Amino acid sequence: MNTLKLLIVDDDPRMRESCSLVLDGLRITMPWLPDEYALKVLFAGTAEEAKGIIEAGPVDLLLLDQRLPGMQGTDLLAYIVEKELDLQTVMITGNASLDTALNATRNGASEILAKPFTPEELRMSVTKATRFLILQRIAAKLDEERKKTRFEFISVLSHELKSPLAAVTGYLDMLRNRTLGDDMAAYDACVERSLLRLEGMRRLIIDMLDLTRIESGVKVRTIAEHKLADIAADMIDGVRAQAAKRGITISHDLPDVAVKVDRVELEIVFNNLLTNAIKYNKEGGSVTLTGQRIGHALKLQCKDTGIGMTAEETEKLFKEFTRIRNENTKNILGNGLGLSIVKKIVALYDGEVSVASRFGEGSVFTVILPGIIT
Amino acid sequence: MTKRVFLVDDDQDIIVQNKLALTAKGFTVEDAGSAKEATEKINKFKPDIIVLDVMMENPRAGLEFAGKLATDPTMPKIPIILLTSDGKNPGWLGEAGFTWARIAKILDKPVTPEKLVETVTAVLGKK
Repeated sequence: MNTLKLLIVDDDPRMRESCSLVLDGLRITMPWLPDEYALKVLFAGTAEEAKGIIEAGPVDLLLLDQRLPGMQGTDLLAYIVEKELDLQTVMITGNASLDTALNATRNGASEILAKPFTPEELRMSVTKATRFLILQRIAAKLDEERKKTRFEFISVLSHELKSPLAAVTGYLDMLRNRTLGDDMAAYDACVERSLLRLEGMRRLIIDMLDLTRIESGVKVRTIAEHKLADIAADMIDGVRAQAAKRGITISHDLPDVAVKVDRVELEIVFNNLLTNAIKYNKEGGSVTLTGQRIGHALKLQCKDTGIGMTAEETEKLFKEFTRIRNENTKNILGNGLGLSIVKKIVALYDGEVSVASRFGEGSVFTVILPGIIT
Repeated sequence: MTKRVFLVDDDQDIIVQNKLALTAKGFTVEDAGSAKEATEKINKFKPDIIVLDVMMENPRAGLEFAGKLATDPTMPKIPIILLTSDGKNPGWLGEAGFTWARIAKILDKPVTPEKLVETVTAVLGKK
């Protein structure tokens, strides 16, 4: 239960008392949200006194009489707007003319309550103002979080882009300065590493584009029927050379079914699972891709005999820019976006992706895509 | 006899660049990608000098390793060149409880391979 402070500002003590009877302890719920709020009432007889209370501690809501001795309700409202205070005001006015109402709302009141009013009207107005206050606070918090996430994403991204640039610059400097002498052959490793880092950078840019396209929903999806085996065969062909370099064999056992998917999306899923299974494998290891039809769903599994992961490592695996860093992975290039892309694509099909892994023995990635087999 | 340099850095390209440059100048080089790996390898390799990155598996991994070298009697007592991105006057420089006796030189990153070869040569020459 969250408590919100409501300050009743009225010079008439009976008015303050009767409003308090209705409002003190009033519970307010939010539609669609589990949170419940209770009001705690404070009193002030003048606007000056109210200003003091507001300045002394946070007040969430104000029930404010427009006409007060000395400083007027509208003056207090103007002060709140000027200070950009995080509170909502229900303004009580003596007459219900349109002009008065317009003026008060223009000056920052979220609700207008014309005298005389019933307890029910009072309760309604305060409830509306409270809900508005809560929604505004939630929106502000979300906006703050969005900014923070965006900032974090961009800082990690910049780091990931700067790092290959620094490496390639370093190698080029060595060539320019003839650090290793005049024999070009001495620089082969520099050239190889530079090309590798540039390829990693190219991959990162492609992955970034995939990720932002999926997230923004801008990318036009073309759902059509394809033979599962055809897509898989194409993707396996694409990585065969990379596997052969390290003596890794790839086998597959997929059902002869047609799947209704966006071909590019499924290709990205296959490609990420297969390249990971190769990259994080051991020399001479194997990769097995299997598929199983479960009703209208397709269950895909990609199993490797690689270095595996600890339970702690698998937990953070699907987050953006997560890379498992240890001695076994220090020479493996990657940007930590692949699996978060897979996860996002699988989510587009209301599917699931999971991993089971044993450190030192290998991993099995399972993707379930419901409703893609007719 | 050729001098043995132990490169400890989690940036594989910095290792490759420095290893190429040092090897070209006749040094024997071994590397480790983390303080943990360095701990495992150091007594087998028996280096004459260590080039040690500060920020690796944690932001102070290199400092912790340097501390271990200073205090652990099973560790070789050899000079250390620290590589850091913490600026010219890193906050840890004045920290109490650290034995800095073996820190021969602190270099601010990025360090060119030429500069590193020069520093390694100078530190070993002084020894």
